[in-house]
Amino acid sequence: MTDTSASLLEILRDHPDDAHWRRLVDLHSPLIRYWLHRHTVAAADADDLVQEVLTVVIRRIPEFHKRPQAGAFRCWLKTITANCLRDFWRAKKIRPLATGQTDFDDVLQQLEDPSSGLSREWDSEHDSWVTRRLLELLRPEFTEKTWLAFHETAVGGRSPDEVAASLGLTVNAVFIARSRIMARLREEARGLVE
Amino acid sequence: MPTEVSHHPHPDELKAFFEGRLRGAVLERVERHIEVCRDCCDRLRLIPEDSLVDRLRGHETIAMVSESSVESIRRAVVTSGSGSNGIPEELRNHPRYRITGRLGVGGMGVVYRAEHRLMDRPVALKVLSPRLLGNPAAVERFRVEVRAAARLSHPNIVAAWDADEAGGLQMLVMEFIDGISIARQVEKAGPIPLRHACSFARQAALGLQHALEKGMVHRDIKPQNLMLTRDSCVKILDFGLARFAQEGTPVDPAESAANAGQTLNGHPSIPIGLTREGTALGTPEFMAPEQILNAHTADIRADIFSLGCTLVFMLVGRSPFSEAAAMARLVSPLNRLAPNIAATLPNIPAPLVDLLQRMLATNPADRPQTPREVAEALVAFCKLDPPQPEQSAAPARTATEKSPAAVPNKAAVTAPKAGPCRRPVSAHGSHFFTKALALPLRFRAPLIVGVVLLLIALAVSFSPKSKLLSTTARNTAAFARKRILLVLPHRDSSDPLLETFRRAAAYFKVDLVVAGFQLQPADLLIGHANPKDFDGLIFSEPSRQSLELCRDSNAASQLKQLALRMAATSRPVAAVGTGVPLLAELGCLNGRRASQKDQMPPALANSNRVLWTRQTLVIDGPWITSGDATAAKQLLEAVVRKSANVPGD
Repeated sequence: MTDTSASLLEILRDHPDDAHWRRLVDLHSPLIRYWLHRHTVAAADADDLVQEVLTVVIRRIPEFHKRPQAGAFRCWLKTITANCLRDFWRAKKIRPLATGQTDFDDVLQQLEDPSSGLSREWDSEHDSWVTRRLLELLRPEFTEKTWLAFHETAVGGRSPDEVAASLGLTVNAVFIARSRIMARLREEARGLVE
Repeated sequence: MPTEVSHHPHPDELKAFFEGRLRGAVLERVERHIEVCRDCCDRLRLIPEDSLVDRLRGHETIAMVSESSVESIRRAVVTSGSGSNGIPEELRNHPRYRITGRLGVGGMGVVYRAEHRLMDRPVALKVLSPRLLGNPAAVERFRVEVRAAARLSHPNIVAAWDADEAGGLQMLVMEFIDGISIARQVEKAGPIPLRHACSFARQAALGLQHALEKGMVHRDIKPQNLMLTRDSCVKILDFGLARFAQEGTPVDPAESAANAGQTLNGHPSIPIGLTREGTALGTPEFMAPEQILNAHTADIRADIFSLGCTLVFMLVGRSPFSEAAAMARLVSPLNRLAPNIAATLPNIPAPLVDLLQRMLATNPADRPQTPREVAEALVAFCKLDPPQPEQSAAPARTATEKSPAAVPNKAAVTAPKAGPCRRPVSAHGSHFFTKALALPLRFRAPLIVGVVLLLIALAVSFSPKSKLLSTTARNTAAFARKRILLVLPHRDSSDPLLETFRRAAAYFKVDLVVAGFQLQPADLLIGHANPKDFDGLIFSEPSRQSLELCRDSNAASQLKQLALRMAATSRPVAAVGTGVPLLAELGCLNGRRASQKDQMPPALANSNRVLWTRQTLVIDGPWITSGDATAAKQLLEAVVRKSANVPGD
């Protein structure tokens, strides 16, 4: 474990700094905003709410680090978001809609239950979003060929032979490129996405 | 270098290597082995993808089906506890349909390929996930989808034939489409040639017009929802979000007036566990601003907006709004002005640019008001009569390429046809060019030019990097404008130099694209900027925390990479004001002369590596610097001049 570079979460645990906080914020704001939007939070309020959620995250992260388990961050983020949502709805005195199915208490309950459909949905959305964003952030670290070798096979699903041919690389090189970027991605995502 | 190949890695090690889980000495050893071992490559080919890749993949479904982000949400919808091959028990012995395969996961359930037992006709069955059956709202929504779809009958809309039921499962029987979505087509073969793209968009517009006449709006037009048949016929998929324009169908309890002002999500009560179709991350790229704010106010003009985004996607390889930009729009969609289309598409005729600008207008009233208008406007840009092999794409292309200002070839205009184009198009798109290449060069000299352009475009399209237009294609087009990338090396929400540069860009008639670490005011993220798309690069001034930015190694490395990659191809890289010391700190100006205005921090000033001089504007190789921020316009001029001397890619 000594020669791996620290993931974002680990850096925030061991020696946090502004740049990395900013990265966490940048990584998660769009996702949180998207979740809020889906639960009918108006655009004007979403900004404030996102801020609130992230403020709580930043403030409370030392508590979080005390109980590390797989998927813990995601779950914890969900709980914080649910709580902020509840407070928001209460403060605005928003009632569940007419014959609507979107019962807000129901939503909150679902979010608090990790095995519920909504919870699982948020989980996958979180993982997908964070993974893809982290990948984007990693891109400048690699040459174009290496990147394409990875992207076309892993994301594009093309055959390694096809990709090797079109890039003028050996298949071996393509596998190595792919493995390297995967490794880097796993490193970055450790703790955030399992 | 080892002279012999070490022992093959253990299968577990191979798998770990493939997934990127190895570290340290083990990794080194395995990598070195893989570099030279063919047997292991063979084994690597067989290792299945793991969950991390699934998350990256998104909509990797086969053919058919709305490919709206399979990644997460849909997966939750897939039937669990199904029988062999993932076909649910209830369907395996359906009286009328014989399931022949699973096409993928779509809007509200899984889509299967099947055959009508008696009529032997291939169909697609969209089955609502039983997990959702318990929820009456979901079933109701599904029925609305069925009713809506059944009212439509048009060659450019996927036909819905029947609603059926099997052991409690609700399903929709649809036309089976032998083809792939436009999203997949572009993914496989890159951007689509202009005439074909316009023809596809025109067909989609005709489909939308039909739907409009039936009182329907789609609300989720995007490349994943447009199917392309082998005959180059476009069919719109998933009219599931369709709402009758007239009242009558009980649709949206969320309309209740009490919270109308607050309601962002105008869509009907989303049953827990079911997201609004196509709302998955990534779809807002194609959504009209008013639709993001309140889906219920969206009418056919929102579809027109989405079609405009889709047309741009076909031409360039991505939506004019990046995912992140679209996300930003979720917060303040109306702040975002219509994007500078010309900046994204330097190679298309001006009238088409105008049409796109209109379709993508932020205010729906500024757009074409009906799809028919769009279809008619697109006629001029389409290749209408199915070309025979002896005809070439060359003549038409010559006409357009040579006279950008003139309206494209009027002779090609005929009345719009609703039928499919008959020219066969292979799923690989390479077919487009194979036919053209086959034509003999027996045409006269004027057409040689057209063929040369065609060959260049051919080379461009086969280049694995050409998801976006390359500089070669741009430079050879008759009316290419220079594209300059302005980088904002800070996280402020505004930049005082931005306005100055914009005005200067307008004055010199170049396109200015802004990159930053976050959107607003930037047009794209620095990490997304590809030097190959631009003729020059300019660094604006960092904010007071410039040194802090350099300590953020990721940001610094992004900036440095951008600068170096640009300079490596002899394209001009410039910096203004305090952007110059920033560039120096990134190590780009070593051994170069650079312009210094004020006092430098001692570390920089005393460094032997940069040759500071007090001239206002200094040009050394590709590096253009001016320590004086008021000389911004002069700097831009120098960049434009320098870029004119640059050879093509």
